Amino acid sequence: MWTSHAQRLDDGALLGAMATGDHAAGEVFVRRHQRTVYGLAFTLCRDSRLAEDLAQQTFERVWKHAESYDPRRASVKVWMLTITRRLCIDVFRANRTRPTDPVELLALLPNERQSVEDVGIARTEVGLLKGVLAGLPEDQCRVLMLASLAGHTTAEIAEMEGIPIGTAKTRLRTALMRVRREVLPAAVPVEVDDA
Amino acid sequence: MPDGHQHNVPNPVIDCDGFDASVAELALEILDSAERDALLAHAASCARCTAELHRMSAAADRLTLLAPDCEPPVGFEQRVMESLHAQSGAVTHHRPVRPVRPVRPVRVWQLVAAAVVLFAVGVTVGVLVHRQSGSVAEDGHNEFRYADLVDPVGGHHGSVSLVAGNDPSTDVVLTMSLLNLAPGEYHCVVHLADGSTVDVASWPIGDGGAGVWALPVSNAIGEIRAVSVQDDVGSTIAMTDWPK
Repeated sequence: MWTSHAQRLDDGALLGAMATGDHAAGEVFVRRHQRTVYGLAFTLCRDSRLAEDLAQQTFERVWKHAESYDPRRASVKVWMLTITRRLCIDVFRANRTRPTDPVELLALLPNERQSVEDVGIARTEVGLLKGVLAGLPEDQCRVLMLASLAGHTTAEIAEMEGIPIGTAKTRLRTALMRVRREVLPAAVPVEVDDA
Repeated sequence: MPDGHQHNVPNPVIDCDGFDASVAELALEILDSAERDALLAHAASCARCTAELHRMSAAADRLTLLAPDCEPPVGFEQRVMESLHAQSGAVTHHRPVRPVRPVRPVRVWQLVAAAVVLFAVGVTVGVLVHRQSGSVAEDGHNEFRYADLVDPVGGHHGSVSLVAGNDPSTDVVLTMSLLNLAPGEYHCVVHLADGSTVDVASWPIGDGGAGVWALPVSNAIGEIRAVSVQDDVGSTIAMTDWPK
């Protein structure tokens, strides 16, 4: 096997090899990303057995659709985690029973005394993202985390937060627009130009 | 989603203001199907809102990066690999690759140009080869080569890897990861040890200037002297070279 050599490949090259059915590339890819994929699945569903199943389904879809990855749209990691999130949301639609603690979700972010530079992640994509979220008003940040990492609807969030649905919608949109403005590359490809 | 009470409500007519009010929820995929369908129906007829949805979705997708890594249960990796093997059958090296345009015959003037380029590369290989390039290894039957694609002034344009399967003379997969290219048609040209070249495929590169491509090639890895990227008029944009 050439697995040890595949370890030198970046994610894009691994996907290219996986698109040809190369299992050694798949093995390296799974080993490289299994903690990340399982971590997101577990964060979203809070059930280790279900998270394992969803993580496995994620890798199966990555394997099946490797050739459709478009590097202009997102990094391999974001593309892969989007698959995980969609699988989780499909499960939520069928059966939502999870309690979510907003404090637990907010704990994923650096606190205001611990800058992103302090934790050495400022230059990474996730570091930039955490920096932006740490700068959001806490009520906006909480709403965004409940929607993105717990899959709650605005109606559920409004009830959890004790606010009107309209307020929850506004906070969510304002927060996501700020993330978009500060995190996305200058030119995220879109099908059409802004009118 | 749990807002099931809205499923029986006819789809409201959505205008751009209404779309804006709910686009974050649409991008985060937390709407019920009726609301989602109504918003998507509007977006389908509104270029401005389609663009807005793309951008908001790109932002929403990045939020997945915030989840902490977590060690999966013991045996997870093995179970996943068994599943992948099962998906693709017992022998798996020839699943269909990304569709590419038909291979075009190599033109004589291209051969001459490529030979000149190859000679030039031979002289200036030390300049052209990136410091990370040129990993060569063999493990029994399997062989692997990797190198960066660089232009004559050292600009980085991606990488090329070659992987041999069980039969290294016929079972080779070339993966080309391209970056920093102007939109247009590009050719992947394999330069062989005997001085000949093979235009193995051509691919379009869009506005993003990047792409990842993979295809089987019929030459043994040892026969492949270099791989280059050429534009549609035959000019070499970037080239890589394996160590001797």
